[in-house]
Formats: sequence, C-alpha cells, structure tokens
Amino acid sequence: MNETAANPKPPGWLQLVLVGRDPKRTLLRAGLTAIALVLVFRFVLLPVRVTGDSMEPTYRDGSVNLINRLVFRLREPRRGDVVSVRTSGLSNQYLKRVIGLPGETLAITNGQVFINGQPLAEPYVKFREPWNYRPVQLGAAECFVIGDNRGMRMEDHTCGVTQRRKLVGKPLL
Amino acid sequence: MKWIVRVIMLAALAALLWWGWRTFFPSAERRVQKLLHGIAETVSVPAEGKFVGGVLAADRLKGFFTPEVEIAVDVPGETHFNLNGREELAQAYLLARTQYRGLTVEFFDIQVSVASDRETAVADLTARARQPGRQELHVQEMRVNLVRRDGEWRVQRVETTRSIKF
Repeated sequence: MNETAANPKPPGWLQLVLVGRDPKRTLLRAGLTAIALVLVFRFVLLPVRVTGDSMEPTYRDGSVNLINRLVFRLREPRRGDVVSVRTSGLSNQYLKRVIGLPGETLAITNGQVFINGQPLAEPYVKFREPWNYRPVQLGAAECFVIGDNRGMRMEDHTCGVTQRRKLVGKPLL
Repeated sequence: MKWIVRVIMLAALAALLWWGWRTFFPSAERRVQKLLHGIAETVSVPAEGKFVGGVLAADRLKGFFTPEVEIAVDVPGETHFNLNGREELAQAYLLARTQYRGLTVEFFDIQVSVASDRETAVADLTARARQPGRQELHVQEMRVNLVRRDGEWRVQRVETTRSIKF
C-alpha cells in the first residue's frame, strides 16, 4: 500500500520568526495586543513630556512619564501626591503637587505653607523663596496644587486652587 | 470567507454614510469647532505678510465675531486688557501682526456645549501660539461664548480662564 498523503513541510526559520507556526493565530494575537496597547495608553497610562521647571528637582524639564489615570478613581487625592491637572482637554496638563485638601484653609507666609494654621513639612522642596499667599478656604471639591520649585518668582509659577474633577492622575515614574 | 467580505463591505458602506452625513449635515458643535479653527487660522501671521494681506485678514476676522464682541484677556504677571467691538479687535490684530511675524495659532481640546435652544453655545479650549525659531511661546486656556445670528454662529465674548486659579 502506497503512502500518498505526504507530511506537511515544517515551516522555515524565517516564517517561524515572522508569523510563527500558525499565521492566523499570530495575526489574532497581534491584533489583540494592538487593541490592548491602544486601550492601555489611551485610558489608563497617558504618556506625557514634562516642559518647564516648576517641578524641579523632582521632575526635570524634558523628562517623559506616564500618568496613571485610574488612581483617583480608586481613591481620593492625598496631601503630597504629585498630580496632573487637565486644561480643556488632555493635550496640555499641569504637573503639580497637592498640598491643600478639600475644606482646609491654606496660606503661605515667607515661603512656609500653613494648613489650618499649622506649618507643613515639605521635604521635597529644595529651593525656597519667601513667597506669600493670602489665606484661602478650599471648597468641598477643591484642592490646592503647587510645584516643588519654590526658588523661582511666584509670578512665573502656576499654583493655586483647582477643582477635584480636573485631576487626571498621578505620574507612574 | 464570503461573510467576512460582506461584513467588511457593510462596515465600509456604513462608515461612508456616516462620514457623508457629518460632512453635509454638520452638527452645531462641529460648526462651532470649524468657526474656531477658522479664527485660529486667520489670526496666524505669515512670515512675510504684506500690509494688504493684513487688512484682508482683519476684515475676514471681523466676520467671525458679533459687532458688540468683548475680549477679556487676563494673564497674571504678563498682560491684562479688554477689547470691545469688532473695530477695536481688528485694530489690535493689525498691530499685533507687525510684532509677531510667522506666528502660528492653534486651538485644541475644544469642548463645545450648545444650549438647549440651539441659539447659544460655550466653547472651552486651549490656545497655543508659536513663533518659528523659538520654543513654545504661550499656552492659554480660553472660554468662548457664541451666539447664532441669521443661522450662522458668531463669537460674542472671549475670556481667558485657568484650571489652576491663583
């Protein structure tokens, strides 16, 4: 009895490298991976590039980072959290640190931050100029955000009260 | 495999119909966005602009606004001014044109809210201005109030805003 059904030829190394043993399965895997990556980088981890020196020395001008967008869906922002604050969208965001929480009264006197009249220890601040900021009472859905670089002119530094809903997430790195 | 081809063809046809509908019957939001992009394009200054070009651009710019338009700019530590009316706006534009050669203005992240009567709208946006050979010149958040006049959207008020209020 003659054997007519020959064994299929094993795939060559190039085919193995490029499309694997089963091209259909490889295509499916590639498609699923692409969809997963798009979803992750669109809805969970937002790639950003830091511009400006208001968060020096914690974050350098030109450094890249990923913003974890899930964190404030799972918990409320805490004092000391570095956060990204959205503008009218996500193309341009501010990277700042939360120092005042909802309901608190915050003031800055000669560069020292006071929360409800008590001085706030800020080990992350390496440069400090004698900034002053009038006492402000934060609303139920407001936070006070500021950069770590207090060695610059206050007029050149974006800081102040923002809405809780404007907080996008926390940098991952 | 025939069903896959049919599904793809059907999806392509649906996409074509959707694109056609959006192109020929744009929503109020899309009309407002188009108007705002038109403003950004008009206020951008060519590198080698002529005076006549500036006058034409200023004239075109006036067409985007209502006659009683108000512009309120307040950037702490930098500038603070108000403009009232289209003529004042056009004059300010012609003056700025002489100082900012090659300026490119873009509006992005435009969020449009149209009122239920479809006669007024508010757009929140971020404006970015760049000059060739320089690093980013300025990024500014803005709120634009629009009104519908004779079936066309026109800008009634522009004000600068801040997500972080000093």
